[in-house]
Amino acid sequence: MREKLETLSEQVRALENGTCTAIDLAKRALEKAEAHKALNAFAALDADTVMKEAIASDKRRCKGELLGPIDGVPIAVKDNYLTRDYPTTACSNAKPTVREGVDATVVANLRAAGVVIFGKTNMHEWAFGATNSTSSIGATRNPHNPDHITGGSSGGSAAAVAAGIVGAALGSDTGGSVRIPSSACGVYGFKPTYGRASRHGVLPLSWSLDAPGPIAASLEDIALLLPYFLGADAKDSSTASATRFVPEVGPDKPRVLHLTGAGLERADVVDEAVRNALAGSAADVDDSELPNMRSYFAAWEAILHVEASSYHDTLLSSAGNAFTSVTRAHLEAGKQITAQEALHAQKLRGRFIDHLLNNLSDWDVLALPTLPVPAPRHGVDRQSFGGRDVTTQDSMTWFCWPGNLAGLPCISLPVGASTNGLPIGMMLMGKPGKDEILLDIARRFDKRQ
Amino acid sequence: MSKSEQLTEDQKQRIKATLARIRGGLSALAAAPSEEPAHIYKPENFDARKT
Repeated sequence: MREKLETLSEQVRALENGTCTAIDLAKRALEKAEAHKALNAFAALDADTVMKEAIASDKRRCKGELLGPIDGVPIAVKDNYLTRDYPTTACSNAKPTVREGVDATVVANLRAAGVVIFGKTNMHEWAFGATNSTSSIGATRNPHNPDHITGGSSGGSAAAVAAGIVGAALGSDTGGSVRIPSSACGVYGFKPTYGRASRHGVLPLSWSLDAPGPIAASLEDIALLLPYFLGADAKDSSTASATRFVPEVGPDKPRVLHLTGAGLERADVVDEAVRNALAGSAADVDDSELPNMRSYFAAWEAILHVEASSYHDTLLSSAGNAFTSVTRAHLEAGKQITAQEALHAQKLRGRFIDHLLNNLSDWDVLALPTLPVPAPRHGVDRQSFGGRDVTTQDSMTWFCWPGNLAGLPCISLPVGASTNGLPIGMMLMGKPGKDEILLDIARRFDKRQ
Repeated sequence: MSKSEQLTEDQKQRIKATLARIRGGLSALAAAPSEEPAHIYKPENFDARKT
């Protein structure tokens, strides 16, 4: 039986009531990181830097000069966020060209609130993959069973939270990279509406699909962190009209559309867990199908490949072989997609969003499993479920890419486990800009509360 | 520019398979010439009934 995770919110309360100090939290996190070293969750972690920040936080607390409610809590950062005190490698030997000594906007926001930046976490190389098996420092291992993958690309962040090393960590999500490892590791992950959270300083995979988001041990933690993600940032033009986080209450009886049908198959154990979670809530739940999934998936995949290959064009030319073989093949494929095809993909994207928002019956949230299968074993290349046989990579993004193609806010929360104890997650997608409503509705389905 | 001859046979096969899947999916759903791409990307812009 795994111990109950200490949440970020519990750490905040412990600091407030004086039952622990920031130094205590930092020391405990460092001990746990050492004890769980075999998970390979961290790309970089410097104990001296961590302790220095914890000591500074405790001094502020003594003087009554706290920077915010989360002053002193340790939070880990995915290795594609720029951080002034750690190198940023995207876990690739094809090294990014980045300005040293700079923080990504979200990291800067957290640092300004007194957070102790707890190292950089392992990730799928350049976030171009969802297994976390491809990384310059090796694969991450699932805290629930190290023989299984964490999913990715924010696998180190989810593993660090699920192992109880930190209460929260930062991820980024282009086709599910926050939600996938959160589900596989049994924790919570939130992808904000596209354009509400600043991407500045987060190394891009695909500009129009990427979103930074938190991974945490509880929904309360997600609510605690979203104010540091949401809002306008002059350094990211997509956030020009972004509003700040303001808690909102959703309808008493939310209308939930559970998406099913061709292209949305899942293993029986997963389907059962999600249907049980939906049935046990005060919500109106209907099943609905999405048409043309193959074409909309192709639109997402085309946009992803074109934007990623454009971003990496120079590096690909000068040091193509520094990428792993699979990542290089992805990037080379992106270069061969024509402008006509890329525009066709964008037309389908517009149509997909229109269909979700206007052609389905009225809904407050869309529900799906986060993954069609529990976390696969390391080294297993294909997954079979619901009459489908697909690559493990495709199984990871199976339900998640629509949230990025449509830019919707999405959350993954744990709702069950397989017979061998591997977590099963449910994903809820909200209306664009309604991140706070989505969070409130997610609370109705949360078994932790 | 990276040269295709530098690619391994496995990489060439992966590229071919990726492009075939993308092109197959895109061509299965036609778009009208007048249909505007989502080039200004704001999801909420689509949250209005088209007349």
